[in-house]
Amino acid sequence: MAPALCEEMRKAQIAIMLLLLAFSVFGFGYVEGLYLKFAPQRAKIVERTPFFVLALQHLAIALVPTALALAVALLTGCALHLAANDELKSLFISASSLGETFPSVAIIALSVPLLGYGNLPCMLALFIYALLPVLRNTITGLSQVQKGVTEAAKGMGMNDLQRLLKIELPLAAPIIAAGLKVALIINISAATLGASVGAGGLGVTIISGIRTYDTLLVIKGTLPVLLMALIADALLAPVSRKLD
Amino acid sequence: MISIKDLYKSYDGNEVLHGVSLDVAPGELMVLIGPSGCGKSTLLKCINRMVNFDSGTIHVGGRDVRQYREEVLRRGIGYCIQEVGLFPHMSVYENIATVPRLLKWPEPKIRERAAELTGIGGLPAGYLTKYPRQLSGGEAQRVGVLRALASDPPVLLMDEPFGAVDPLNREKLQKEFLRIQTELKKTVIFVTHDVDEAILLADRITLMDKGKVVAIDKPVGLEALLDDGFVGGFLGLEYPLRLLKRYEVGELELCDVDEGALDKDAGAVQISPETTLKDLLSMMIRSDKDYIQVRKPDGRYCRMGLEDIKWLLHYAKR
Amino acid sequence: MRKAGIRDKVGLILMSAASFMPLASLKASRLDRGSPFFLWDLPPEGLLIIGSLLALILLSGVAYARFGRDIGRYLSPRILWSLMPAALIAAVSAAGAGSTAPEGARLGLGAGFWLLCAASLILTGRDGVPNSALLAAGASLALCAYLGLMDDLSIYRELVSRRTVFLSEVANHMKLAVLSAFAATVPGVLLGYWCHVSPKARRWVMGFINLMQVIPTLSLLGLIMLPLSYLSRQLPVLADLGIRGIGFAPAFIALGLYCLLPVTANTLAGFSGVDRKALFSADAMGMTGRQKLIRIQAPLAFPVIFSGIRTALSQNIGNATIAGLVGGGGMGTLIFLGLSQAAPDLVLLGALPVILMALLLDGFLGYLEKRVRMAVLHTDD
Repeated sequence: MAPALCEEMRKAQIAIMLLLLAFSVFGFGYVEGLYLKFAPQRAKIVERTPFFVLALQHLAIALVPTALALAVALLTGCALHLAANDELKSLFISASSLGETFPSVAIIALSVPLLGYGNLPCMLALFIYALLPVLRNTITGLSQVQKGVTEAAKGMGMNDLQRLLKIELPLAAPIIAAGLKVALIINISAATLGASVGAGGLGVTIISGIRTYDTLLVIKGTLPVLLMALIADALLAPVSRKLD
Repeated sequence: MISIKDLYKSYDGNEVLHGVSLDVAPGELMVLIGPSGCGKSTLLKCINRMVNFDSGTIHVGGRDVRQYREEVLRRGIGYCIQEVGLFPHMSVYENIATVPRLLKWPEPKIRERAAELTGIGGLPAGYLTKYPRQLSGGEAQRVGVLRALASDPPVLLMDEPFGAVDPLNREKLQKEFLRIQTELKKTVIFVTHDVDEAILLADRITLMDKGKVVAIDKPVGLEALLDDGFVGGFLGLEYPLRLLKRYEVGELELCDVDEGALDKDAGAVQISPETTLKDLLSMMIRSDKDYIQVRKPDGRYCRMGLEDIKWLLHYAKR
Repeated sequence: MRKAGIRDKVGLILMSAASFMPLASLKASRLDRGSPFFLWDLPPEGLLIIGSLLALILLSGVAYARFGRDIGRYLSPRILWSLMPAALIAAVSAAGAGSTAPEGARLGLGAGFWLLCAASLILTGRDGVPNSALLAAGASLALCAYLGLMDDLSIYRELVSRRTVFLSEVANHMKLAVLSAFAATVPGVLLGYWCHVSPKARRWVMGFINLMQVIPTLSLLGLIMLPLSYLSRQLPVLADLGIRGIGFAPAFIALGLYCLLPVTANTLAGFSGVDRKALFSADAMGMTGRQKLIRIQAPLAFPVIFSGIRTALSQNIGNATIAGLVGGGGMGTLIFLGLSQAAPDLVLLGALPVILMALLLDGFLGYLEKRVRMAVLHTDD
C-alpha cells in the first residue's frame, strides 16, 4: 500500500478511536439505559465520582509517570552514553531487566507502606515500571548506532554533545519509541490496579463491577482503557516502525 | 541417464524454460551455464521436482520423474546447493545420515558409509561429531557435498555449490570434487555462472539463455561457436585462453631435451604435474625470450616455444 | 584487594547512602507506624555484630591482597557480604531486646535495611549474584530465625501467626501460575503453528491475542466471571467440578489467556525463524511434510518456543496476584487483605514472596533456556 494512503488510514483510525473513546466515556449511559430495559432488576450503582473524571484520572495516573520516566530515562541514558562506561551501562541494563521481573502488583502494594494510600503509590510504581524499558532501550539504542556513522560525525568535527543531539539520538529514536510504546501500553492497563490501593481511575469502576457481579460495569470501565491503549499504540507506531 | 525433452515452465506468465531438451549420459558431468535468469537453476530443480514443470518430460534412469512420489524421487538423487543448508541442530554425522535414515538403512551401515565418505572428502574422522556452527565455509560446503553423496545416489544435482566460497578455497574444492568424480563416476548436473569453473569441471557444457539451450558441447568444442554474438559475449573472447587452464602438464607428454642443449643463461623453471598450459603461457609472456625452459617433475628438461604450446593444445583437444 | 569494578563502587555508594536511612522502626502494635531508628541508634551489641562482620570482610580482603588467594573457600569478601542481611537482623533484634518497649511491640524493617541488603547483594558478585552467596544468605537468615533473632520482627510475627494460611497460599499461587501457563502452552503452540502455516490466520489470531494483552488483568477477570457463573448455574456438572464465577476457575482462565500471547508469538517466531536453507535442503533430500516438521522445524523452533513459555510463566507469577481479588487464592489474598486492613507487614508478607518467586523462577527458567539452546543449537557461548 502507498505510504501516504497508509498514513491517511492511520489518521482515520485514530480519529475513529478518539470518537469511540469519547462515546465510551460520555455516552455509555445510553447503553446502560438500553440494558436496563431488558434487565430492570440490575442494582443501581451510585457513582461517587463522575465517570469522565475517573477517565481523566486514569489518563493522568498513566501518563504523568510515563512522561516523567521518559525524561529521566533519556537524561540518564544520555549521561551514561556520554560517560562511555560500558561496565556502568551493562549494570544499568541488567538492573532494569531484573526490575522488570518484579510484578507490577507487588510494586504497587509495596509502595503503600512508603507513600500511604491514594494516587501516589500507584504513580510511583508505574514510574518505575515505565523507567526500566525506556532506559534500557535508550542505552541499547544509543550504543547500537553504527560505528561508521559516529566516526564520520567525529571526523566532521562534531563534539560529543553535538554528535549525541544531532546524530545518535535521532538514529536511536525508533528503539527508544518502541520502549516507550511498551511502557505506555503496560501503564495504561496497569493503572487499573491503582484502584486496589485507593487510587482513582477506571480501575474503580472495574473493581466495583467485579464486587457486584456487574459485567456491564466492568465493560464500562474496560472500554476506555482499551481504546486509550490502542490510541497510544497507533500514535507511537510510525516512530517505532522505522525500526524494520 | 537423464533425458529431458521439450520442457516448458512459466511463473506468473513469465516463461522461464522454453522447450529445453537435454541428454546426460551415465557418468557424465554436465555443466549448465548461462547469465542469471536464464533458467539453469529452474531446470535443475525440475529434475528432482523441487519445481513442477508445465509440460515436457524428464526421465531419470529411464523412468519418468512424474511417476515417482516426490519424496521417493528426491531421496534417490543427491542435491547440493550454494547455501549448503546444513541442519544446524544436527552433527555432521547426523547431517550425512539424513537420507540413509530416510531410506531406513541399518545404523551400522550408515556409520560405515559416513566413515567411508569422510575418507573420500578428505575430512578428519573427528569432524563427524562437530556441529555446522563449528565449521568454516569451505568445510561446511564439503560436508554439503558429502551429504548429497551419502546414500550413494547415481545422480547428483549441484546448484552453484562452490559459489559462496572464497576463490582460493573454491579452487581447492573444485579439484577435490573432480578427483571424487573421476573415482565415483556419478551422473552430475552442475549449475554455475563461472566460466572457469565450467571449463575445469565439465565433460560437456550446456549454454543456456532466456530459457533455451543455445549450445551443448565439450568445453573445447564451444571455441568454434565464439563468433555467435551471445556465445562470444558470454564466454568472452579470451575463452581459448581460459581453456588452457583445463590442461595440466601431468596429462600431456612434454618432449625432452638433453641438458646440454639448454640455454645455460636462460635458466629453467620447475613445474609440477598440476601446472596448466595457461601457467606455461604466462611464464613465457613473463620471460623476455620467445621460448621457456622447464624442469619437469621427473627431473628432465624441456624447451618450449609458442608453437609447442599450440601443438600441445591441439593434441589435448583430440 | 581485588580491583574494584564499577559494580563494587555502586554497591558501596548505595551502602553509604542507605546508612543514613531509617534502619527499622519500633511499633507498639501491628497497625502502628512506629518510631524510626537509625544505624547510630543501635545498642553496642548491634554495632559490634555489624562491625565484626565488616572487620572480617576487611581482613579477608587484606589477606587476599597479601597472599594472592582467599584464606578459605567461603571466606572470600564477596561471600562474606552475603551475611550482611542476617547481621543486620541480629543487630536490629538486639536493639529491640534492649529497648523498654511494652510487651507486644514489634520491629518493622525500614528502607535503610532493605537498601543495605540490596547493596550487599550487589557486592557479592562481579556479574550476577553467585549461587554460593544466595545460599550463604539464605542459610544465615534461617539460622537467625532458628536462634529466635527474628521473633520481634513484625513481618516474622505476621508470618508465624499466619503460617498455615501463608504456606497454603504460596502453594495456591504456584499452582495457579504454573498450571494456567502449562494449560496455555498446548493451544498457544497450536495457534502459533497455525499462524505460521496460514498468513490469513496470522492476521486474525495475532490481532486478537494482541488485543487481549491490552485488556487490563482486572477487566479480563471481571469479564470472565459473569459468563462463567452463568455457565455453572446452567450446567451443574461444572459447579460440581468447582467451576464457578469466583475463585480458582476465572483466575485460571484469565491467566491462561494472558499466557497465549507469549507462547503463540514465540511459536510463530520460532517456526518463521527456521533457516530457510535448511528447509529447502530437507525438501530436496526427500523428507515428507511430517518428517520435516518433526526432524527439522520442531527442534529448531523449540528454543524460541521455550523462551515464550518462560515469559508466560514469569509474568504469570505476578499476574496471579490479581486472583486474590476474586477469591482465587494466592499471595494476592494476603496483599489485598493487608491493603484493606492497612497492615503494611501483611502486604509485605504477600508481596515479598511474589517478587522472590518471580526472580527465582525467572532465573531458573533462564538457566534452562540456555541449556535448551545449547542442547539444540550447540552454540559455544
